Amino acid sequence: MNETRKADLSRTIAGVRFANPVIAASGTFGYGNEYEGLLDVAALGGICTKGLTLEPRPGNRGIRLHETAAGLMNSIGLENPGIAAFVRNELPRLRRLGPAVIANLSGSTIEDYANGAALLDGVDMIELNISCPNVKAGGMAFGLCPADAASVVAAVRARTKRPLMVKLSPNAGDLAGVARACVDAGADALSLVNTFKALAIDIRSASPVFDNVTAGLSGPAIKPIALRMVWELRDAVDVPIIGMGGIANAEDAIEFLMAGADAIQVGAATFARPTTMTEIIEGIAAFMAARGMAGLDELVGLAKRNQIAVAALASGTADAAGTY
Amino acid sequence: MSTAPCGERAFARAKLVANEAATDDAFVLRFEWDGPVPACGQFFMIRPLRGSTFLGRPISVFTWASGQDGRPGTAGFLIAERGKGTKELHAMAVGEEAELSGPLGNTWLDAVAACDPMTGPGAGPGAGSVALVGGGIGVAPLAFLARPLPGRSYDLYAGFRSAPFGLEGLDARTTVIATEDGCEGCRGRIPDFLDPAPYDLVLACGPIPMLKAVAEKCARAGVSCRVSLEARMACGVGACLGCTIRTKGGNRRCCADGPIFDAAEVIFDE
Repeated sequence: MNETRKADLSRTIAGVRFANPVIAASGTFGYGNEYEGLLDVAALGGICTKGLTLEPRPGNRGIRLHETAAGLMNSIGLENPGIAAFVRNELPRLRRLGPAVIANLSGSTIEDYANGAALLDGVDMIELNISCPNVKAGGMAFGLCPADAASVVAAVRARTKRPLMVKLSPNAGDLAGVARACVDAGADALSLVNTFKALAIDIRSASPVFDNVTAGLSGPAIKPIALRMVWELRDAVDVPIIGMGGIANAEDAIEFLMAGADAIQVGAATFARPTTMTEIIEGIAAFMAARGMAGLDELVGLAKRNQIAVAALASGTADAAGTY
Repeated sequence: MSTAPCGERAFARAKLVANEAATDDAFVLRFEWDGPVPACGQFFMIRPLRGSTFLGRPISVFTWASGQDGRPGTAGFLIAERGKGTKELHAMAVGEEAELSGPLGNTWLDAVAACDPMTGPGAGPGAGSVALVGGGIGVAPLAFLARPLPGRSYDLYAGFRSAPFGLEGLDARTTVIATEDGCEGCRGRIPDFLDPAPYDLVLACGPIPMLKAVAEKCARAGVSCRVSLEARMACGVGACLGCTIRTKGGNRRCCADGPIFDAAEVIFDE
């Protein structure tokens, strides 16, 4: 053992190796090249693409962004060039960047999701988006109840052999139920949370800021709620979890990892500071090195294990040495 | 979804070296900038380190002075206090730092086709007939374009609510000023005093209703027109698709495909 040894930040999730647990969240990092020159993109663990649909989409009309206290509301509406154009024009370059490539897949119908998934063989992983709050058909509608979630996951599972992660909505009433349904239907991993459905009103015009009335809230404002959801879901399912929601620095990221997330995604914070993700990678490495942690296994779920140990001690069912 | 070829840019802390009043609610911030040199029409995302807003604000470059003897250059920004973000920028003290990303976006020169008079072969700078049309804070990127041009090589139209600002160092052939309160120049709005017919090219920046009026006049006169637009932005680099501009060719990103567009392509919202 020597103190200068670097911690190993790599993590294999659903068979996909990530050089580190920091992934650019869908919709905040385009197709990987937009931030060139502002951060070292090759240093990231992974990149999730902007939400893709089978057909090209123009996205929503009207105002699309609204800053709030410690947060950002968006109503982009899945603007994208369509999966075929993505595979042709963006994917070859995206693959050469280095980080694992995750395609975020959305759709209006189960058939669209399934047909879209079939075109995505060239990516490392598919993140099934059943949690976009900004489209009228599909999107979050599939992520609010277990039966709907299961039907879309099963249909996609039948059409792709790629590792399949499902991105969950914090707006679901029974989040654990939706999560279990996704896993039972073939999901290899889960990611959460997508944005919270939220509202802003322009008091000068006395009308909602967004044409769709509601929009999705992200940013530091949602972090403690997202963290609680990851913590609770960690007990409900056995598949890997990628946690996100307002992560803006290494401390935030470490909280999610300690809560049981196998990796984390960073979204809105990249808008505020382009180097947020690379600073988080360095911060996690420094934190682990300072505590003599050799690998991410020691960090992931640490607060869970400590809590179990404390509970066991309190109830007298474990000896003080504890093996947790 | 073609990405405009982007030049060099950087994300770095920058120290404020001057905070000067331009008018009642407009001011000029000057930052030391050691990064890539901005071109006319480009912008930076600026977020004060001690600010409370989550996101930076997109601000056009107003002035640039190269550093001497290897020292950083100085980038100046003409800013109007509009909301919380610009209010916090206004409150910055000399010596404080902000985080800057940039320079971002296209330039007036990118946006002007090779046959246009300002850059075209054989035309030579100033040989053509160019009108610059600015509204309020929109004079900033036009002033950055015009200052190094040969004297008397362009006409300037500038409209303000009240007292004019931001026009120092400009040497137009003809200058037309309009103010809504009539305190200087003609009383009224600047598009009413523009006849684009004599010009080969009109470059405009200002509020959307003004740009719409200028674009319509240019279209009727058959005169080429480029407009610098603004929109709410989060990333400033084309990743978030929050600042979409509707054009006849489909959606464009104000930050990465613009901010400067062919006015004939832009669909100005009703």
